[in-house]
Amino acid sequence: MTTATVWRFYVREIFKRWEFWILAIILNVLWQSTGAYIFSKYAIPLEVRQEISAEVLRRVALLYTGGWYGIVALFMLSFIAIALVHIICNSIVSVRYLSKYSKVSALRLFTGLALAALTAVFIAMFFLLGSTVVFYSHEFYDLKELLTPKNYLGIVAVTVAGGLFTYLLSMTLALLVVVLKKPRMLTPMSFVPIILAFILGYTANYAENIEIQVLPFALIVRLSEHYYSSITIDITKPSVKVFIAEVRGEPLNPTDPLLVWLMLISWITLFTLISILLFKKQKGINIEEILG
Amino acid sequence: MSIELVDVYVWYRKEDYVLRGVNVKISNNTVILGPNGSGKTTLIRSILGFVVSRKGRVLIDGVDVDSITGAIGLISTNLREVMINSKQSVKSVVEFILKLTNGDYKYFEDIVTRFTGRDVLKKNFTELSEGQKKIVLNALALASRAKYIVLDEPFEGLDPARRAAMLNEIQKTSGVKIMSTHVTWMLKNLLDWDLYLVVEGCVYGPLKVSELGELKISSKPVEDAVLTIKLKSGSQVYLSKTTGIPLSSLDTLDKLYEVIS
Repeated sequence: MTTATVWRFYVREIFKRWEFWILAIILNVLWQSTGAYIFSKYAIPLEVRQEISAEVLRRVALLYTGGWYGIVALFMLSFIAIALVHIICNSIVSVRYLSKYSKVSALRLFTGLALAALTAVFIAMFFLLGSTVVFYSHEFYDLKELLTPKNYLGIVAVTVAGGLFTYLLSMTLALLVVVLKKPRMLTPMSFVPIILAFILGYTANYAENIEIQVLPFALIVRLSEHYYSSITIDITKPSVKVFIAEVRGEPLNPTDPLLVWLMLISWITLFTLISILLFKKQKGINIEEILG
Repeated sequence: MSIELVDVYVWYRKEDYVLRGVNVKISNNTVILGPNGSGKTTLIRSILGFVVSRKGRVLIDGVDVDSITGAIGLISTNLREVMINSKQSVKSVVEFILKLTNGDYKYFEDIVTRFTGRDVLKKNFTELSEGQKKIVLNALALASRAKYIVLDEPFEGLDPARRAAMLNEIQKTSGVKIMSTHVTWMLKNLLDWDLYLVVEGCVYGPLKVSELGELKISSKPVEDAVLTIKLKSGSQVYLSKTTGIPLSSLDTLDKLYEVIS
């Protein structure tokens, strides 16, 4: 009951940040329309679309759509992280009072907040999924056929995992602001997830280094692509090369999705531990130093 | 049952104590009186268990404040840190906090409406004037219906009419009230309250507010001194019934230093 009260409060809090949602929607539409109407003309030229069979075109279009879904999903999650870093940091001081003199413990409060974050992720996912299907189906089939995900359950699962990772990354960054006693760093810190998502998400598309491919940002993109289009996961190659190999029917070194999940879960566990450690550490910081 | 501080020292920087050797026992309505910057807010934060760099013991009804969790209705406060920094309206945030503390939202709404009008409830807390913020925070503390209500400078930013009305509201709310202030105008209405004086991080008392009205302040040694206040500069100030300037003639304790000099 208490967790539900906290969840309701923070869902309202996340959606009250309307300026961030408007920006996220505008950028989402921009990225999706760029992917659907500009880059698609280079990735799968119009003359090629006329030459290949309908079956091959559908497979290629789905792979292409899945790739864009993965990368835009990552950006959307990072946008939610901007709001979360602010909300978590703004709640840290009040948690000290509430955990002592109310029925909500710190654990319940942050659980309620995590559930609120996942709710926002779900809503964003429906919007993202809807816009992806509409934009790419329009480009490739004039909406006469729909390019829908191959595995909805997988999409939901990776969205939840991505949301959880985003929440824990936001928690780590917010607590760092507190532990380092740098309240003025809050806004710059809140943009770290989106910066990392842009750099590491895009790099994962082209970089050959395996180190980049095992980072959580790349793993979320890979799993999203995989569940949207059934594209083989091969973390030894960048996304673009996997896409080309799939189209040309060239051999890949398939990576078991379970292994990718294990790596992503390891990252989530690592950030959970860091958050717990930082939460304990922040208890030793005086309120005056947090309030700045 | 009481709030007890035993030999409490608090510091924000090493070797620079904000509170020094504080011994306080509060079981009745209590005024904590002292000039600005004397350590009143830090004393209140210590009572609530918000101060980290501390030695000595703080006990609430015999329980160490650091070990208290989930004590619904034990303490409420009007400190700014209670209010969650939110984009939502005052109504939403306070409803949330009072739901978690088993407080009385209707009473909160009643106080705020009478003092500032209903518009405040729809606004974001950061949009309010300093006076409105103080009214909201006071109302939140009072509406929590806690056993101990700890109020830091509850009259700051209020106009004279609202100050008197707020004092009346505080007096009629049930619970043990602990109120810090640097002004003295309201003391004549609180004659049966206990009183501690806070000067340069040291706490002196307890006295009855009624006793304070009879006291005079002097920087020259007085034989029948009721209280001797030691200042960091090395000089001493004496409170007695016979010698010096009547404390009641100072409208704010900030003038204490003027009197001494």
